[in-house]
Amino acid sequence: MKTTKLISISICLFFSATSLSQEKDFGTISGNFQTISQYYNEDTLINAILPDHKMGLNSFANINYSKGNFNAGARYESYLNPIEGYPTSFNGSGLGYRFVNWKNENLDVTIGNFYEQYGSGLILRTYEERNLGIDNALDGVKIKYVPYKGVYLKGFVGKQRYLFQDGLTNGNGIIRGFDGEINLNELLDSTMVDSKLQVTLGGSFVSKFNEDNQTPDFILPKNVGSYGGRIGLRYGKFRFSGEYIIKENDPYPDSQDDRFNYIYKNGEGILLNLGYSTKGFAIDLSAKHNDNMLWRSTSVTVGPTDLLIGYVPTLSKQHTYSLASTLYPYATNARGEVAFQADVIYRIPKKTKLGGKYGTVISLNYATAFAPEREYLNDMESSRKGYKTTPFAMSDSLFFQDFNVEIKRKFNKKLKASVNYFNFVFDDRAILVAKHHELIFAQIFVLDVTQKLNKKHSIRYEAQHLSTQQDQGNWAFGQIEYTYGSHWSFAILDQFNYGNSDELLQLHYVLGNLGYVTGPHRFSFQYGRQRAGIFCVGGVCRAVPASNGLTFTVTSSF
Amino acid sequence: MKNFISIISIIICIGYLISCDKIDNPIPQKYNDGLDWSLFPGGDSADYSWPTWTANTNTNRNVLIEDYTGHLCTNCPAAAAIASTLESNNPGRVFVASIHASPDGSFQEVQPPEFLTDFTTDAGDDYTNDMSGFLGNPMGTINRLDGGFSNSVWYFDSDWTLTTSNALSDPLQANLQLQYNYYPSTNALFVHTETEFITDLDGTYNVILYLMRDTIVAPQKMNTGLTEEEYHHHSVLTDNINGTWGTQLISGPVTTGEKFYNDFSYQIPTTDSTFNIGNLSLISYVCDRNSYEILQVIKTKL
Repeated sequence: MKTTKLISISICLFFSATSLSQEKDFGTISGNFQTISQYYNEDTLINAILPDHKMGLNSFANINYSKGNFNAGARYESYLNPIEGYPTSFNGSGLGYRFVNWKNENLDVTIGNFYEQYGSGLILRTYEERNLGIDNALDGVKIKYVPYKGVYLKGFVGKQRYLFQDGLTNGNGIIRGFDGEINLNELLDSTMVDSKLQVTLGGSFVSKFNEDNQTPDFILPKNVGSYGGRIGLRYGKFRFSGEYIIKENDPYPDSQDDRFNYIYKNGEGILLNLGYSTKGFAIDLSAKHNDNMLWRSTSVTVGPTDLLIGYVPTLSKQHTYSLASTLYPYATNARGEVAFQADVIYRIPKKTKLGGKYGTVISLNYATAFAPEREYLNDMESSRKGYKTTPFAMSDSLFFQDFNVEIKRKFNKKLKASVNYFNFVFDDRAILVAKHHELIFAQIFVLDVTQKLNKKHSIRYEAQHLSTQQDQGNWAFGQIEYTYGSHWSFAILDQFNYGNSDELLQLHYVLGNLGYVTGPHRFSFQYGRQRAGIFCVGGVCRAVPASNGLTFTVTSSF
Repeated sequence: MKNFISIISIIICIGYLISCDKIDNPIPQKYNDGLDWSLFPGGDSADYSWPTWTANTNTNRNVLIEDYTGHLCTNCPAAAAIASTLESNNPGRVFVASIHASPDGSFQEVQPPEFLTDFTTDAGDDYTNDMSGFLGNPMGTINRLDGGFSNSVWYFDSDWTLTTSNALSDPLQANLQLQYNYYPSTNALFVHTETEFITDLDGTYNVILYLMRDTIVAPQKMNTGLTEEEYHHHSVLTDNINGTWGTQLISGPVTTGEKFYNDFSYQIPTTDSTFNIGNLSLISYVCDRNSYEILQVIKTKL
């Protein structure tokens, strides 16, 4: 590994030096950099985490080189120590990602690390979500090939990133994948080039080989295959997409519930989406059935986001307002769920009585998820299929329901505002966030006003209120953000858990933030209390512990 | 386009081949506790090579002739000859176990200076006592079928040929397979059996393992009144590896296709050269614990 590091850094320095010192085209170097450091204070009231090292630092820099058809890159990462709440499997400094790529019109070859997604990701999605500490990059060989117009073939063999201990450490499992996609309009351009109907067909095949086994009680499959197909249709203003994936017997340990512990049932994932959009109006309907679709490149117990091959997307809106996004967010239930979502966006035309001078946008969203209806087979001493399900057959066990409305309006050149209402029903037992109640009913109101004071100054007010009889009770949130010119911003916010049934925990979480932006560089300081919460992106979540202290962030690109 | 379809087909086929191990029976065959791992070199059970079982396709019901004999019994050599002939004429179907036993033990006594070998076993003694109807040596059992003397399991040697012939065409009710590992450094056997019932039954069924010495050269009184000093005692029951009545498989209803797996560890005695591994065999059989009937028997040369 050390040799790899040295070679990579040398290559980068060489090209960097030569590109600066000579006028000839030696290619282009680009990259970005981020560092987040946190200094922790003691705060026993909120049970703030106070590690022995007192300071955490997450940092990385991507450096990419490209010349003609050739690309190469590397990412150097440092976790000294990882900031609290981040996976502890990230530690030390070293190369976490490196690749070499060559491509022309038909062929694209990558060796080293790469990210890949087939279809919606149910069967394969390797990606980096730095805020969650997810990086399941593949390490191996990937080939993309276009043998004929409209025909796209992709294949790879690789291992997955697992740990970072002074460098990249891959898991033991080997993943092999193949994906083919046909765009009929491109393939049959003589007959379909002007067609309003656009059709895309695809099929994927992913298998893993792993010999990890932590149980003598069961015979585990070493090779597990997953396969499926997808279709994409577009006709005028309508579009439809559908995907169906099967994952063959792939047992995992489940210490929470014996009914799911090492079961040999095939996994199944169905994702359907129908949309219509026209000027000022759009509707989007989604349905999902996923059952036993936990899909990792190992068969042993690892961290919740480690070694994931497949990604089961959540059908819920990604909220941005603090109380709505971090107290009761929905995480995909890996055992299975039947979920539906409807999104409607309507713009009341401008220069109307209702729409005002600039128009008004109303967004409605409804999302819900239920446990699938399962017929348990009582076969745990024999075939261990566990249970039977039927696609989209759901039980009355509600996991989650989210109804939310947003109304956004610009009143004049200096004033715009939005109002949001959220209504959550949240089964804590299913998602294990608050761990206090089985069902939590919560309502949230948000008012967000931005006022432009003059050409350089603007101020934003944000008020939120969450009311619930369960869990920690009511919360109030207020924030003022002041922006000066294009460089400076200052914000102060307070979250107040005034409804907590324990008076000692009726606490204020005050946080101040100072930011400075210059060109592609951004610096920010944040000081104060941060409450414990759940941070989710796309249904994948990480618990963030309570903390008190200073956070310093730098981001830059070049 | 043809090339393209060919490429796709090949890739899909390769993909399918490497895609999946289908596991229909995820629970590994369980072995009984009680193996003496101190007999396994290194003592670490994790290093042990457990047997892999293949489907048992046997359709024949085999026959065990238990020849109850004694070295002082002058009529016994003739009975032994009948048993041996039946075994020779039906290779792989008929097996002989020479059991030196009788209720009073008079023909099996050690009588120095000539008859110094004690061939008796606890199990042999138990059988002559527990299975009623035994008159005296030589008598024998044919799969312990109950049509013998006074409808007991005991048959005079004059009935062995016909009874064996009939028994060979009895329907098969259970199948048996045996695998073993032998470790010279500890002189130990690790024995594994698979019993599969191929018809629905209801009762108590045991599996029993005999350790047999193939040949022992020792004195035998003959019907001439003389002693043959170098008589070849054939297939002599030497010990029961899992006790007189063996190991219970099931007590109650058992259904077609139901399988039972058992394992045993056993240290071979080192009394004399007749216990050398090359002179040993295992006879294993499934029997009805109540009627004593043997449902299936196999013999494994070590």
